[in-house]
Amino acid sequence: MLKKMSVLCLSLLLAFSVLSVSPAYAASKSSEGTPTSGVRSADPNHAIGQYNTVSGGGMSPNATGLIATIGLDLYRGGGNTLILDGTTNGTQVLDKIGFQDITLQRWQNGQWTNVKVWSTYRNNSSSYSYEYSTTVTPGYEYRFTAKHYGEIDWLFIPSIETQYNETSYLYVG
Amino acid sequence: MKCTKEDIEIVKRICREEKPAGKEKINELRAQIYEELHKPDDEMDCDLIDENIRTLFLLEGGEYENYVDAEAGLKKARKMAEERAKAAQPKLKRILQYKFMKPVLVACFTLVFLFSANAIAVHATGNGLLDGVVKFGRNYISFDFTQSKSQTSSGQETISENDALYQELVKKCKGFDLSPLLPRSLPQDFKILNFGQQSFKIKKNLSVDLGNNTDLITINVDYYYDRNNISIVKAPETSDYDKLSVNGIDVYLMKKSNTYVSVFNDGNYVYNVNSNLPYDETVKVLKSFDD
Repeated sequence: MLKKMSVLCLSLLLAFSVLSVSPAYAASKSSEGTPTSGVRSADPNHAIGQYNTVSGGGMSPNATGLIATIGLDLYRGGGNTLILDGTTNGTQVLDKIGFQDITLQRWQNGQWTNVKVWSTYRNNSSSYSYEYSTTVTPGYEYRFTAKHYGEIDWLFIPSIETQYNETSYLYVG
Repeated sequence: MKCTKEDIEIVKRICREEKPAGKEKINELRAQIYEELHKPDDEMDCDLIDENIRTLFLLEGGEYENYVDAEAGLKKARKMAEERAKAAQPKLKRILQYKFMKPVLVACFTLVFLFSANAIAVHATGNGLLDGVVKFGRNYISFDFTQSKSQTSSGQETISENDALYQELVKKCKGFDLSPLLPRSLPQDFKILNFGQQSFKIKKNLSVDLGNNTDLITINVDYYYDRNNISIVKAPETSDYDKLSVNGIDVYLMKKSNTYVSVFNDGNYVYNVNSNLPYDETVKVLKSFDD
């Protein structure tokens, strides 16, 4: 009886130790482990762009002055749906404004792997608000990256500004 | 015949040149010419010089006829000397002799210098040398050397209550089922240049461009259906900014190139207002945001 009790106590102790010593593993839930780069979203349903202007992101000092503010957010929709909400605001009416190389990434095999890459622009506008939703394979951490893009052509010479942004990541289980 | 100084210089140059044939006679003739040339103008025997030159030409090529007179000989000599001098000049120097080339080159160098200086300034400070003076728009270029704070670049006394434009904006927003804060004070000649609206799963978006021929204010408004989805506007971490209080709302105002960029939120709305008006005028517009 004493032997059984000791085995039970030791098992409980072992299980408790594993769970308490590895909080990252417990938090990750993903079979791919915890991403070693990027920022985990505090909100499981809303991941904010790391360089969003409204979230304290500043202005790029070496920029050409075409892009005023930027925003890139990732939301959990119903089921395994992810929603991207992006905004690029120009300082004036631009010939081309939008998002270059929007990339949906998931943490797989110890690195961020591209699931999908695309670009979208609008002509002759001072701003571009963009929304995109997609269904993803569960069991991974996901995030979006993109370059906010602004272009104005003067005497056929294009002046271009891009600003990189990436959302924090969240788990789709 | 009277020899001019220029003619004398040409003759001197010819005399200096070495010729292989009839060297002795040639040297003698040259010596005579030299001798005459070193005499005062009044005593100089130009006919002798002319005769010697003619003889020199005959010795060298025999191209001259007997009737060739002194004036014609000198003319020919001058032409030959000029051609030789020209051939001896470097190519670049010859190009530079064209009258129109100098101003073109000066203009080119000036432009290259200005572009380089501007590129360095943009790289170093983020602002061009003429920022605030030159404004490039889609359909215009305007210059403002006054930099007056009380005027826009169009030179008009501006910001005051513009009820007609405010009411028009309110009406358009209500048509889209939105009631955002809108500016009551704007330049009197401002019009709605663009009014865009979009509905998404997460939010509604309004994009409004207000302006005249030279100035522009863009207002971008996001209305989030769920307040939990809003990213609350925070103070920028990396930029210089001003914090204004507009009806109890914190408004962060930054300068980017020649545009004032402001961000703020109120309830479910997130605002981004950009203005190329001067600072004081931009602040007046922001402070007039009202529902």
